[in-house]
Amino acid sequence: MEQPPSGDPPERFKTTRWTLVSEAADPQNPLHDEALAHLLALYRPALWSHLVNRRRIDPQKADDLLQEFILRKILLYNLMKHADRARGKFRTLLLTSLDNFVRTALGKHDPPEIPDGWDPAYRAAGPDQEFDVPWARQVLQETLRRMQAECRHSDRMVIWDIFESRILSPALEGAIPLGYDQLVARHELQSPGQASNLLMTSKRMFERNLRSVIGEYTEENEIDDEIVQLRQILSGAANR
Amino acid sequence: MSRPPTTHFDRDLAKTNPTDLAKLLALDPAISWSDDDLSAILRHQLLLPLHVELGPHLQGAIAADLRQSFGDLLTAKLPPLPLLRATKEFAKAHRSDPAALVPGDVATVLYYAAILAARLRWRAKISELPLPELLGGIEWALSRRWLAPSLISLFIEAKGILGVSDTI
Repeated sequence: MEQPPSGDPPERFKTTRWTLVSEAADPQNPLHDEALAHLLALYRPALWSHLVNRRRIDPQKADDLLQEFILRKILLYNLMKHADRARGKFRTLLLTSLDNFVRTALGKHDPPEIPDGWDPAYRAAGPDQEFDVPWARQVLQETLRRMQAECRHSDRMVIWDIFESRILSPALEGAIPLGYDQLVARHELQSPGQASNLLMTSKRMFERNLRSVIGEYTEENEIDDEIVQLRQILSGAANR
Repeated sequence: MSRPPTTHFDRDLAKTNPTDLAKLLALDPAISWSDDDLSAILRHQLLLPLHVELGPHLQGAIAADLRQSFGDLLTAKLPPLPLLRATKEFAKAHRSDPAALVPGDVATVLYYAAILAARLRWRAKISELPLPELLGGIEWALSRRWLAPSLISLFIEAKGILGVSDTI
């Protein structure tokens, strides 16, 4: 599977919930540029992956199309202004707009059928999976980046270290969680309660950052559902 | 507390197995400890001075007694009864609360150990637990692979005595 080019997303700012989309939609808003850059950084990898892996567009061509889509539809047409939270998910609007744009740009021809010999996993993929899986990855990538930054800025890297050694590495790499004895020795912990407290704090911090990231593109009362959906997207994606 | 080694989040999740990523979204608040961890945690807990968990002042207890460890208290020939009661209450509060800082199983061992020490050393019932439940607790604790050696003898002694007669 082609991987999107990576880049450092911009530092987050204070805003949460759907306000990011609203700010990005209003050129008069002082936070417009920052909000737009932030949204594009979040969504671009998923959009790119959709073009390359689902629509089978050459990576170089996908770059060009995406660039043009951003220029014409997002900047000039102000797609964000047409985002209506009552009408569905913001990412669905983006994806539909991109597909329409690409279809037009490629001469109104449907994308080519997947030929024999192509990775059969793509045949089984749902219509949005090539977008949703990279999107879910991006949400987690951003969540972890923010969590680590928060730990660093608040001089609490012990929380990050415990999270990484007990939860992150075991989940992502199958690493054996750092044992209690090692945790105590590494951080000079005074009691089991202190170890548990740090571990619980790290879990809560991860969840808070996850909710913050999700809250920037969805309504607050939909965050729980979105977490469940992201989990289903990733669980159902197998190793792709 | 020493500063941990600086880490940088340089993982690129683009190549991570999605099902592994899904695990992060489980958001399970519970902390799962292995048996080895529980062994180390109980050992650490038994080494802690009582005042760390029970506070510096406890009615009916003198300050010097509060400086002894949980392990010392539970294996003493005549452990102060107010401290056993306080230990039992401390453990009881932790054993069923998923957000408690002492793992539930470790708290449960402390809970039974405090009750049994009171029964064996003072013939005092500091709990209303019926005998079958107490015996069940003893069996449960003795079947923990991670039970501290210093407490095994307490549980075995209690099993031998309470299993025959409930008169103490």
